[in-house]
Amino acid sequence: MKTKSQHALFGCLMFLALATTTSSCEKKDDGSYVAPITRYEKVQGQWQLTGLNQTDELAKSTGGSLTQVNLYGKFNFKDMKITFNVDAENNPTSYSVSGNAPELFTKEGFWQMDAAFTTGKTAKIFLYSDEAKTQKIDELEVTTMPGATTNMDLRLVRTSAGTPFLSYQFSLKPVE
Amino acid sequence: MKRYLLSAVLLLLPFIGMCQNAINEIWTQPAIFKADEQVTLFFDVKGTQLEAETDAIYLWSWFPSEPDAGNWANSSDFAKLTHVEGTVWKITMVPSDYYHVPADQIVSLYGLLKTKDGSKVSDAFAPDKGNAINLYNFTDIKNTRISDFYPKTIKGDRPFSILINAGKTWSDCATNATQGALATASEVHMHSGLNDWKVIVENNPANLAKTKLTHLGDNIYRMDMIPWEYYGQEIAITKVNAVFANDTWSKLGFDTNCADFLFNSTGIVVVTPSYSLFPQKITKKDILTLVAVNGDLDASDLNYEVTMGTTKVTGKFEGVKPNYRAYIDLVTPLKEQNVDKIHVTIKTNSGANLLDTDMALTPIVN
Repeated sequence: MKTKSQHALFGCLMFLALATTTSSCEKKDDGSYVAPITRYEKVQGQWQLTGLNQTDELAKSTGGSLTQVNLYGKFNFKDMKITFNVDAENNPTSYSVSGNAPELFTKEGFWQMDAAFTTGKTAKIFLYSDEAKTQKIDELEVTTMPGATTNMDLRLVRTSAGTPFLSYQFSLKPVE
Repeated sequence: MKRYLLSAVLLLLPFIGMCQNAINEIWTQPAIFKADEQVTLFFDVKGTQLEAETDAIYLWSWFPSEPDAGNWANSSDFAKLTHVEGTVWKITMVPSDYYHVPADQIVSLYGLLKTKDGSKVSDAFAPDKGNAINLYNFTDIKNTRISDFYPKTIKGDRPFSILINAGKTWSDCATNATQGALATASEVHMHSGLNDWKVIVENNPANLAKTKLTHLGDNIYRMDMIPWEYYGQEIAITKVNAVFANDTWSKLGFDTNCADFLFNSTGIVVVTPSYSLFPQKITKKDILTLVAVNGDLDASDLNYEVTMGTTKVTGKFEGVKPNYRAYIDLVTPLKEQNVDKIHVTIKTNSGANLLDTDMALTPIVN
């Protein structure tokens, strides 16, 4: 003989079982697939120079008294802008440098990076004179990749027999 | 034998010390002074027995009189010097009052410095030591000279005096050359500059107090200054250029032929800066910085010339003492040239060659 309370408990358990079964069969909505942001998307666009330091890597390694010179206020570097162009698929195409500052690296050509996504190593921008990107003319390290910060730092390194002896640190902000 | 030698050396030690007891430096403020006006005598006792004294040093003088005579073992308070800083001491006096001698009979001051009880003394400042304090002889400036100055070696941080005889200065040379117009002015001011007018203190309404000369009587006017304070720049002084006028410039006083006055410093040792090229290794696509530090010269005294293939660039250094720089763009002139070195020279305005060197260009590796 079942009591009224036993009937009520049984009813509740049945409802719970039904509800659980119904909800477990519902399809979960995770949104549509979005490809990860590439380095090209972060680097592309026009950048205004906000700082330029020249570092004597030899003096730095040998404890020289003067290791760095600020060149930002010299030779119209304040007017220097760099533009990295991409195509519709965000693949790198051409680049150009505007302004009358001395051409520390070739002021126009084509660009490519060492990898589209993070590798754990310092990202590199390779500069080419030809669209096929077979004639490399310069190379820039991306020492601060835009992302967490809107700014970007590039480093141009001069080497001799594989040993850096001079570098330039370009600090850049995006042109709105 | 060795013991005797050692004893002899020990006995001689105090006397060896006494051999190096000359007063290091003596100067006065003003540099040119009359015997009946207030003057401060400065003594740097570095290198004397008094070098370590911090309590009290006294003047012991015997010419033109001996004002503290009889008190060698207990100098009087009037002879006590005041400590300035480090090893520099001073005493302020009116010589004719201090020595109780008529001003026209005072031509020089001799003496020495000592502790109160005379247990420590300096060497004398006196003619035989070559460092007596000589008063300026005004005979020539009153009678024949238009101007004079002292000391002849102009030091930026030491008092310097210029004298002019306003009755002998020139004006109106373009029309009717006149001598002595400035002597009728109620005030005489100096419009002057250092090193060919490189740093100027103008005779203008804002500077009247600073540029005003002291009238010593007989048309003789004196400008007193400490040059680095007066001109506001710590540069080596090779010359002072000046013209004189009243406060409104209605009465002028020039040198002979209405030329500017020129007070040429003698014996100035100008410390040239040390130079370096930055960076140590460079390519034709870089910026070269010429660095000059720790010199007496002004940045505008330094001229560079950099030869890059067929291109030659020249210019002057920039910056604030003691760090001067000149920035050279190698990229632009060498864009269409292939050279393996550049040539750098740095010269002073007077043509002295301070640096003359080649700098190799490192080949660019992509």
